[in-house]
Amino acid sequence: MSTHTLLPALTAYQCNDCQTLTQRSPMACAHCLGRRFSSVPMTATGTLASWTTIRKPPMRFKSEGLYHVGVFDLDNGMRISGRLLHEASDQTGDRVQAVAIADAASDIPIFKVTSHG
Amino acid sequence: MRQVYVAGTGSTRFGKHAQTSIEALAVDAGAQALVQSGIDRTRIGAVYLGNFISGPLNGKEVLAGLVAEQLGLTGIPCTKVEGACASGGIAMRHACLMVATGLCDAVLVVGVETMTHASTTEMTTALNCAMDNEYDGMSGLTFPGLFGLAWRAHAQQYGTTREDIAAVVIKNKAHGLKNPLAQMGADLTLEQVCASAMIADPLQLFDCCPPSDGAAAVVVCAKELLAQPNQPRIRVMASVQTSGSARIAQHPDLCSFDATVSAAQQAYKQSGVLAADIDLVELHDCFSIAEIIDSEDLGLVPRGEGGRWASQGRTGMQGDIVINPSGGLLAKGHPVGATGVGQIVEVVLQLRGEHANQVAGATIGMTHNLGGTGVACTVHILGREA
Repeated sequence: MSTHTLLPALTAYQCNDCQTLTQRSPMACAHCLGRRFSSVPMTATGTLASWTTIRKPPMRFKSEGLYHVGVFDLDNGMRISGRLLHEASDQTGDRVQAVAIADAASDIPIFKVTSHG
Repeated sequence: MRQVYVAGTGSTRFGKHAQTSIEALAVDAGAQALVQSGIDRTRIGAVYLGNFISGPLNGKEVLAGLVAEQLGLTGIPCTKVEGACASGGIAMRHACLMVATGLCDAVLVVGVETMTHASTTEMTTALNCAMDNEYDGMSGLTFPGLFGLAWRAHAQQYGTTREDIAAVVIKNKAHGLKNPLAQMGADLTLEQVCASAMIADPLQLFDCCPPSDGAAAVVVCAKELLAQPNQPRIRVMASVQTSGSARIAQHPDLCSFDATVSAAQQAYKQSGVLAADIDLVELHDCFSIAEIIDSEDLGLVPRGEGGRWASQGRTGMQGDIVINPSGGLLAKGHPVGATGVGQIVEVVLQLRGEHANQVAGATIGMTHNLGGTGVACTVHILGREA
């Protein structure tokens, strides 16, 4: 497995009124329509629900060549999409942890498999 | 609510139409449908046109008005509707609502798209407009990628194999060979499918529908306007539109689209028809694995059995349920905004007994049109009246 520094936590956004968590900062809470949010630390560990390798990217990502996108079930129950540092032995159900944020503007996390499920 | 009938249909062949403008394709299909209906154009009360990306790929909008004017339909409400790949199905539903509520006696529905002039990168970028680009799009996900994720999850949960999924491709490509409206029918082997280029693992080239140009049209009307006494009456028994999450992470099951499940349940209730009564379905096989998922979501195949039913021939022309006798999106092509209307045309031809790849004795047919990450869905059930 590749050697990357594991992130201790990701950032989520919590509605100040009903405490619903979202991955990115919304304009309104879909649960209660509250409009005030706080950034809170969120678990960076979970399991790999599925992944794919993008070989025909859209314009914006064309310079990257091929890359891997995954769906991750975090240990707090939230399901999020992000990038995967894929290795040939990876399987659905493997344990994952975030290792980086792809870029500050997007908040898209990059995960790697830490142990096989 | 009044009962709604399909009075006329029209379609261009789906494929490459590099020398024909998007308006011209729509006018071609629309004129066919109007003439076939036999309904005087003064009775057409509205036009709904399904289209997804005429802006980014053609620099053209207000297509509904442009097309209506060229068909001699002036002064009536002309509306372009957009719901990604479900744009055509949504146009059909709005037309049905106008007739059912009595606001119009007859309505023209057109679906149209031109795509083949664009490069793969331009097309992928334009199609990605249908993604939530504040979430999934930022991760670099594409629509082939979305179905690559679904494939891997389906294989994990249900044991669906490459061979099972290839059976969908081989079937639909073979159906396409018999359909004069289809873009690329083919006589394929398992080896050829498995040897095709990887697009979004494990999805390969033959698992993907081709980009297409094309248009389809139908005229829907109240019963009293049906003007062709010698033609079988085709009634719209259910017309349903639903929505689901635009984000893949909001889908609790990567092997199912809530919008399809809900639309199918509502359509069965609205029509009084059971899944077992459906003779054929034209469903949204934008990718091979999508046909398997859709067939399960529509309740036509038991959950998790879609792959095995395909490989056992139970979804072929002699099967338990005939899926995509037109060749589906995989072989007929997928001019995005036209697809949902094209599915209606296909089912009407089947119910009239006029299809080139006829399902013997078909009396009830279904269409299923899915947009984006399952964010929009329509299901229609059509029946031939005795």
